Amino acid sequence: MTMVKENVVLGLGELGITSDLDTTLVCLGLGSCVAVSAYDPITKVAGMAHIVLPSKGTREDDGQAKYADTGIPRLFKEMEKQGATKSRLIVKLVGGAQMSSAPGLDSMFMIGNKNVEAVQEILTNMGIAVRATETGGRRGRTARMSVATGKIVVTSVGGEGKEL
Amino acid sequence: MVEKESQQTKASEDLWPKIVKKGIANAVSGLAQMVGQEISSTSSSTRRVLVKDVPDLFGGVETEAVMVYLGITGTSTGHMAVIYPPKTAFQMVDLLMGLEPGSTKGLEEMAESALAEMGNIIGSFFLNALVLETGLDLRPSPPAVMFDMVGAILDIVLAEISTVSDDVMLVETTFGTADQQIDGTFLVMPTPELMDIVLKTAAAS
Repeated sequence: MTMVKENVVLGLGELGITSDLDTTLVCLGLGSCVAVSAYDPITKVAGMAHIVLPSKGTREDDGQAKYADTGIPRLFKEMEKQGATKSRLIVKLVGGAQMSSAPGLDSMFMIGNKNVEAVQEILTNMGIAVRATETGGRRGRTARMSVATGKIVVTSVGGEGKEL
Repeated sequence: MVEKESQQTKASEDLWPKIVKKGIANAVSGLAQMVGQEISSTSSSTRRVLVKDVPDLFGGVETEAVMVYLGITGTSTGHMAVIYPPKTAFQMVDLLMGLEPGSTKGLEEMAESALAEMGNIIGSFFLNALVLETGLDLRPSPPAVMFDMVGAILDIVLAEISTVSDDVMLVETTFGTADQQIDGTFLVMPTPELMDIVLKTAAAS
């Protein structure tokens, strides 16, 4: 058995799916972005999406997970292809902070809240419950999901790690 | 025909560094007035980078940094930011508030407000030069000071840019005083629309 743990770091708008138990799926330095993670505890298929914006609008789809409205259905579809069953998925959300409350810039920095709201609404419409969240607030976060256990460790600057 | 068009685009893109240079010279003189010391810009470059690579310029997404952010509003939109490693930001606060070097060790309310004012000066003076050059209506938003991981403080800006473009025209400037090495990076990221308008207006005048 190999003990080497591989980190798969997902950048802005990237999507990662794996059932390799030695892998950790990672979203580093989430501000307004939201890491949507899903895990099938039976087949151990894990997926994470680094969502950047609530909706695609009139823009071209990026084919990954930049937008919540196209990225989340894609995440589940790709996970099902790799053996996950949608009804078993344990979904957790991390991120969506409001990094500044400077007057006059509120609308821009509200994107974090809007991202979380959009993600929640999309999941509700798909009939998927959210098991745990670490969202909102004013701090940036890093989320690391172990494929072996499905557990997520959330860290922020100057803060203790928190397990979801 | 196609060739001619691309030559025109290139010619007008060459104008951007020239306009930016005037803006930066103005911003630096504004900062010098604010601190009452001579400040010089030690290097300045304009280049296109992929949006996703911007955090790497500051040590990567998980590196801690201080950012003073200002939006560009008016005829069109864009983003401006001054970014420092934490220690350098504290040095800057000492300079701005006339404190002994090494006094500032965190970002209290006063320190934050000093940095916000600095961002305000740099952003306003930079935009004023652009306005003089083009006659456009361009104004800075109020400043926002953030201290966190580079990825977290930049993702909203990069998110906005990434909806219209995969890359961004970046202006990087470092500046400091003669006796103290306080190098900060001033980033200017216009939306493609803003750059287009600025270049067209500047080329016509």
